[in-house]
Amino acid sequence: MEIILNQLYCIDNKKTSMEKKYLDDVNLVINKGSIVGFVGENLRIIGDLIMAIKRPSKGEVKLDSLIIKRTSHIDNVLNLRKKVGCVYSSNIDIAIDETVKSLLKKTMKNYGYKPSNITKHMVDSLKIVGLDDSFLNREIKTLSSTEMKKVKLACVISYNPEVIILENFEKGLIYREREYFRKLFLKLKNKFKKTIILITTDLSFLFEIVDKVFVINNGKLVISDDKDIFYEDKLYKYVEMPNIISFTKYAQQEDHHISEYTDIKELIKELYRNVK
Amino acid sequence: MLNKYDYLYNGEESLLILINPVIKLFGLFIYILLILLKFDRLLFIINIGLVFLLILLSNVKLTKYLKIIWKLKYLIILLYAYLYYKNLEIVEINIIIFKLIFLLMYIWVIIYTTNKEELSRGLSIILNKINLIGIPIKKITMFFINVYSFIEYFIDTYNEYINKIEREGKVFLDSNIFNKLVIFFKNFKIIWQISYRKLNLRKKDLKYRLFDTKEVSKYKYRRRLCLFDYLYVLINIGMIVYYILKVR
Repeated sequence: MEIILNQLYCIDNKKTSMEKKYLDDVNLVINKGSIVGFVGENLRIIGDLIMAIKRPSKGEVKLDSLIIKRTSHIDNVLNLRKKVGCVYSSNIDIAIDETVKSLLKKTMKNYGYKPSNITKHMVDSLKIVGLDDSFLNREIKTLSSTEMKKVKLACVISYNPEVIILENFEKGLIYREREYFRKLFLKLKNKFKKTIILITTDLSFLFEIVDKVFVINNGKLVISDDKDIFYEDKLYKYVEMPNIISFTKYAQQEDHHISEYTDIKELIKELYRNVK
Repeated sequence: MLNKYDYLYNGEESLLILINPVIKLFGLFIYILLILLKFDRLLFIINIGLVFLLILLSNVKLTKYLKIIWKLKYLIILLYAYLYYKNLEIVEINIIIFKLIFLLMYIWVIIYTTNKEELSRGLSIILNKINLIGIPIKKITMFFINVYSFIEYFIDTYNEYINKIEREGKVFLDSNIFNKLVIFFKNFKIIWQISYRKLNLRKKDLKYRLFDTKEVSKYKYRRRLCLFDYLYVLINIGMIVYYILKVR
């Protein structure tokens, strides 16, 4: 599903002292079957706009043939939402009296997804995100924040949407888990043609996997570029420089000839080969 | 989804922010008194006019006040039908409905233009006059602040929870009013519990002073009464005096 944001404004409490600008005249295209990264603050609004949970103040969101505007009517919202899945962290999860099994079942039921063997499907969804079947009977309240994130991703994968939106998914993950999920997202994109939208403030998670990077600062789209952007200085006016890039730039300033890598293993090989 | 600033202090710079909250509540009390007493056309027009003037001076969009009235449209229609059933004249019904609508708008003017601490302080000062049990005024103030904060947390939790269930596949915002009511009442208890938990965390933060004391308040409240306070009191007392001399 191709997603087009056309002259999109999303402003709460306009022309008051409590005005909050989420998006200010944003124009961009998210191609089908790609991984894009959104970098900035308060960007979970993008998922809400794509799922038609929130309407834009001005402009439109185009999802293939469907257009979402401020006053447009959508005949069957559930049909739209079946194609999109959001994984957002939330403080209210700890108050939910449910097990992982009931949550998965409820999500599949709400989205009308009826597999032939429901238990096997739930176990498979959990396996994809790196959790075993012992998690089925665990209560949501007893899960850690990273386990909760993985369960939410499993819920989204269980009804097989075309678009998956993840907000700050990499926070709290250890190195091995980060690499696992980066490979998983690549596999979902290449093999299953899913569109993945990563909303993050940590650029290192986007290395090697992302096709396009969009940087939004105070609601304005300031940078829209492909994955070669990571070594450009203009990006770091708006976001913190990852350690690997700051190290490479420092080494280059000290007259060491190091190529610009985003993969730490390649960088280590380069250092081992070339630096005396 | 509920907009928090439709139900809470708006922080807009205006003349009404300068008026003492006790004086504002006194004005509200006079208004309620006059709508319950014998009807007089001139007094009715002055009352309604005063509320309208306050709305204009509050610097908050008129559409916000009308939104609140619009949300209560079914109740107003029911009331209209009930009064008609009781064989009241159309003119009388219209006057009663108008008085109630403007009472609501008066209450919202006070809410929009008074910070929670000052509103709670104003309410506690008034209640302290009839405080026969001897509850400390600080406790009464804290009680009202907690009520106000609870409303804030409830609205935030409600919005967060509705977003969450929408993402899980339940259609709420685009469904009809009956479905919305059913989903709301089904999940009311959990939203209440989460809001209450947030309130308890806030109380803990206040107890151990775990909040940022450097935050500057936008509220330009003056502790001494100013010209506008006296003018406001004069207008309200003037209406009562007029009622006693001419109407009664």
